[in-house]
Amino acid sequence: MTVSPFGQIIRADLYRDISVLAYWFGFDPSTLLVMACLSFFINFFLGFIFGNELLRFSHVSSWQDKPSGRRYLLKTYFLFPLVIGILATLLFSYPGSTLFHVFMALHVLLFIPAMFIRYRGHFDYSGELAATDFLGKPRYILAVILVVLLVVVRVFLSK
Amino acid sequence: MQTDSTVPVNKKALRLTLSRILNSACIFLITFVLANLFHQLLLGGFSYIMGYKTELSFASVRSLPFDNHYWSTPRVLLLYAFPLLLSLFLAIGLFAQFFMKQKKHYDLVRFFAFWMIINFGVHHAHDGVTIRANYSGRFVS
Repeated sequence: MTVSPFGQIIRADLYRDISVLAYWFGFDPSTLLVMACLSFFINFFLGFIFGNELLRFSHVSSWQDKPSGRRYLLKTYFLFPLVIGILATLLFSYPGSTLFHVFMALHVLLFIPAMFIRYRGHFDYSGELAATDFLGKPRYILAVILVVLLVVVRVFLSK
Repeated sequence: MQTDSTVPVNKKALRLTLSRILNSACIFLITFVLANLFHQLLLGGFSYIMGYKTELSFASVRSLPFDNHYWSTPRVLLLYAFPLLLSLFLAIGLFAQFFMKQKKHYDLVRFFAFWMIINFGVHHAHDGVTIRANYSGRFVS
């Protein structure tokens, strides 16, 4: 939805799904612009939902009640991994779909303001949570799975 | 399990923080690749079944020929709207399965589901997949 107005103009890299539908059904540019704005608001709103869920993964129970602890969680569990992931994705997708992934990055980064706003207030749990530090120790199996997936993609699905 | 409530600053804590960041980044990338693969394979499968000459790769799905008279509204909807809706429903289904009910323990599987929902819900339902366009300005990438 967000990329659809740009997809109609730039074509090439951004001309996909919604853009194709817009072309086929003859949406005018103003409709596409409204859809793009709607998409931005949806993503901003999703930040509140995913902000709540992210706190449940806290490895220290008391951090869920402390703003500083929440910010630490947001950075280590979401923001920094996202930045690393996006940089890696941009490198892997260059030059074919880099522009698309830039828009995708902006999309997910729209979560962040809502998450910070959410984390300023009181966080209320309906049940007790047992904190588990499941990301604390190195999990090499994740890196192995990622490398295998990338090799499979490069060998069988690269063009 | 860590019991102190201060933000860690020593070396061991820094290692823990780095481990959390890298593990989370790995999970994000794995789910990103899986979600993209699912979408591309679904799209490529539909395209092939409908009789188009399909060029499938991780970055793009091209369904040939591009000319308008090879396409109809049901075909366009099936190829370019159905996969988006399916991704959205998958994201909602995962959310309902893993996060609607309050659990006491939130483990690696749930964290995996968390990133999967983001990749399905945001990356695909909002934006669409990576379909490379043709530069002639005609229909379908």
